[in-house]
Amino acid sequence: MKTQRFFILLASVLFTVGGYAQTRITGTVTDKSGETLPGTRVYLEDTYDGTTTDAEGRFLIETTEEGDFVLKAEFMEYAPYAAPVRLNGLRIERDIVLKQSFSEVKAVTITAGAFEASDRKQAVILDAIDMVTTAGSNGDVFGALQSLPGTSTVGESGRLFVRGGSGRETQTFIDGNLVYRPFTSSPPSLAVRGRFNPFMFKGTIFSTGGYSAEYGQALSSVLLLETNELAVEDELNIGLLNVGGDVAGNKVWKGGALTGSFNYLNLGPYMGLVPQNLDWNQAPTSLGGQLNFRQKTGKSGLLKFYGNYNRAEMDMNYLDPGTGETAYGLDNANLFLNGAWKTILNEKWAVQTGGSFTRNRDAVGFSGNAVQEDLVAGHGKAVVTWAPARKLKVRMGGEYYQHRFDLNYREANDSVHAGYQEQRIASFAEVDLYASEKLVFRVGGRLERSTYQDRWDVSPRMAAAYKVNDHSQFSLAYGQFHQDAEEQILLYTNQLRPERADHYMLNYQYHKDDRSFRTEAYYKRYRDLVTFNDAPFFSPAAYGNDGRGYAYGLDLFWRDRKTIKNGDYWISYSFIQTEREHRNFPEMATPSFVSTHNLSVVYKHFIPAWRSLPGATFTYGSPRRYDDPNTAAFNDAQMPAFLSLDLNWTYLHRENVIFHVAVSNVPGFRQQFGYRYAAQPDASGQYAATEILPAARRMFVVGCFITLSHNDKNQLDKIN
Amino acid sequence: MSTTTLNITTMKSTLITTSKVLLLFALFIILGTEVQAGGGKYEKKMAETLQAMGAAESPQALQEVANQFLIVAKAEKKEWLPYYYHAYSHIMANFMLKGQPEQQDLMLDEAKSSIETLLKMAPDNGEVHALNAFHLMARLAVNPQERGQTHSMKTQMAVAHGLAIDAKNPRLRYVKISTDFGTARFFGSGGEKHCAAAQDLAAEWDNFTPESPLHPTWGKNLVARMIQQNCGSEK
Repeated sequence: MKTQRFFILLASVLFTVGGYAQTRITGTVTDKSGETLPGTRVYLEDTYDGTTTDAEGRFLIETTEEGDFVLKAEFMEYAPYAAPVRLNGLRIERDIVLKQSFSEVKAVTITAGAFEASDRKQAVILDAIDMVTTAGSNGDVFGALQSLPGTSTVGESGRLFVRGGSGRETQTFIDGNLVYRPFTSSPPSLAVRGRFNPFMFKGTIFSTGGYSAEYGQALSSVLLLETNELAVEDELNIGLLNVGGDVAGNKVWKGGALTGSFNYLNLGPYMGLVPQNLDWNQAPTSLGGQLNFRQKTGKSGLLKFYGNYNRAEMDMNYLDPGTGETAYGLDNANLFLNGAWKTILNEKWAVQTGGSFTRNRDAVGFSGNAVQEDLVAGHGKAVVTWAPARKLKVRMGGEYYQHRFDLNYREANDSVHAGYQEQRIASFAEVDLYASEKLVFRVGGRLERSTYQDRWDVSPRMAAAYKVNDHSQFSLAYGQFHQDAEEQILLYTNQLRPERADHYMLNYQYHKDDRSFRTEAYYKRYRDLVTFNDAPFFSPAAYGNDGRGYAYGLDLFWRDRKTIKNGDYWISYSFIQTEREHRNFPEMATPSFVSTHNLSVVYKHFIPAWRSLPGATFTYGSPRRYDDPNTAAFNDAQMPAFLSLDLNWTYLHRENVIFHVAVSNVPGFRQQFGYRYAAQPDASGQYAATEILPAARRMFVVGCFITLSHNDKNQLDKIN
Repeated sequence: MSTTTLNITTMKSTLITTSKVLLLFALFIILGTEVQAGGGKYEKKMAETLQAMGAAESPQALQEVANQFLIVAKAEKKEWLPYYYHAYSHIMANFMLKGQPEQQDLMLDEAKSSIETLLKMAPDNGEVHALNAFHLMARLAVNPQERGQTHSMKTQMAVAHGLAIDAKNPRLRYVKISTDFGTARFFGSGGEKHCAAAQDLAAEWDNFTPESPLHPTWGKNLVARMIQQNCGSEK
């Protein structure tokens, strides 16, 4: 008996050990359409037994395991497969079908209206280097963006004029916060510049319409600038220009960094050498300082702070065709503070908060009179992103705006003061719903409450995008946009409605390797535009909301960094038809800031042997219209077409020394921006006129930029 | 294991009278083999797969190897090396796909997913940071014109992070010198000043002993090639 039992035991033991006998699992992996999927990982969970499917999608797993296991199959962006198998030495045949899974990374994004410039692979981009090496930009963010379609070059302004919108219809946001005064101040008809250095920003989104409900108070366009994250190492940057210079120092510690910079510009010596169209008493000078602070918080949080103070002065003889030359002096002081904090709470929730503060003073003196405008403004914002499911994303937030605007006018024996304060609250919500990886819908809206005007306004926004394949997609967008009249009008009335624009747009975009094509057709309808009447300007009765307008057009953009080795070029063309009745327009007319045809061609070529990046930009704008009071027709006179060919050359002397030379309007095309007319007709009934010209026919910039870091500390004495 | 336990329980109930010694003996055999296999199996499997990785001559072969590493990674939840080699195989596959930027990015995306896991699993491991830096350098090489600025910065950050933990790590030093050469070449300023560092690294390479035969050893030939390419002409 004992022996018998022993044998039974032995048999059991042997049977158990015999579990080491192999089970073979075979099958084929395909997708839903029956297409085989070579390269799929097929394995038994928690074992080492697994394989990769061959060119026909077949697999064979041999395993010595025994019992109940989970068979898994995984391939790229397909949803993983998992199913139980019982291993008992018998051959198993298992065909597997993998389904496409939803991947946020590969999913379609809404591109209607937006030119995105970031390090995302798909984006049509202009990064900081692109901006400063684009000839004609003169290192200005806004200058470089004028080489994109949808913009009109308005040489006497320097602001961004988008799709029939005036310069004030484009708003700038830094890290989500409104920048009330993104431009320098300048005398009438003289181009302004952006206040910000392109190298401050790691990402730029320039939207020419149909943008998210997160952004309000912009009728035509928003420019969203995202500042850099952490600096890498301690550095000292020195920039020397023919018109001034700057110094910036970086201090880096674990998880944080501080940058301080100081700049000084004085155009005096330069203007003494290069002939100017304007008669300066004191050439423009400016003095400024910036502070930039970064600190990581927790695992994924980042706190950013930026502060900028700038003081600029200039004095010129301003020619009024009616009254003759008068001295015109401008003194601007601008303080801008911006803070932002963002963090990811968990897989579903992320929070972003921030605020900006602006204090701006423009003091103008002319013919013994003085006008001073003071703005103190703040914007605070909190945004929450919630992704309850993979195909659903909700973005919502609240905002608070407050600004106080004061105007003081003083003449010999009199002075006038006007001022007002606005407090505004706003909230927005937007839902992104993915029908599939290829199709996304966005529905949202914005609600704003103005205490000064005692109004509520709702702006619905909608968009959809469909991805045709990995390289191309269509987007559609619709939205209502509201923007208040400018501060100089709101001083005298709180009875106005905000101006309103409705955008409809269709966009197609193609991107493959280093070539991008983008086209957009749009229609815009303006209503409630502010109109003036004959009542005195300080009376609320002088202003109405009786204006209207439309704009439609087509934008084309092509960028290619592939065809020409070391070459990079882009071509932008925009066609626009627009008319509006606003301000003092007696009828519908094309405003003077619009060119029907706009063309811009940018080319850059890197020459490794010379360590040089030369570039050229050609710009054409068809003749713009302006009103000549000496003719009966309104806005019927035409300026000459705008032509410019700008060249620049960047030379990398060594890794930390760069030389840069730029010349605008090299051929010396005659640029003229219409005429300025006398306020009153002369004895013969004619309005005297004077041409509006750019500050100079050409602008020359010569600069040298030096970076000193720990690695090349001892290179200080090597610099010639 | 669960099946074995089940068998033993069944045995126990049917063979009540069986000598306990014999039963224990049987148990010992069964468990013993299991335990022994569990310990040695990992090393054996890794060694085999590493050998296959060395022999792989096509991106497909490397992907197969990478799949094997990932299967092990998922079974051995505490080991970081399987993830490491999953990522490394994909970086190697990327180099074989030169000229097909979209394919290269797919390979590097796979590598990145494991590197992200590694950075969470072993944030204080110099080798992990070396691999991260190597991956970023490979990313840059896919499209230097577009990624030159951002990725050289990211690579330098990863190297700096790694060297702060593991200053002697030869692979971190290799990536650092390699990016230094790259910058020097781009700016045409002589790379000679980095040759001394490269030669030092080559000379000291063998002094760095990996923790185990499974730990990373790659890079010696890359250093030799780097020296040949950048310091060849001068003495």
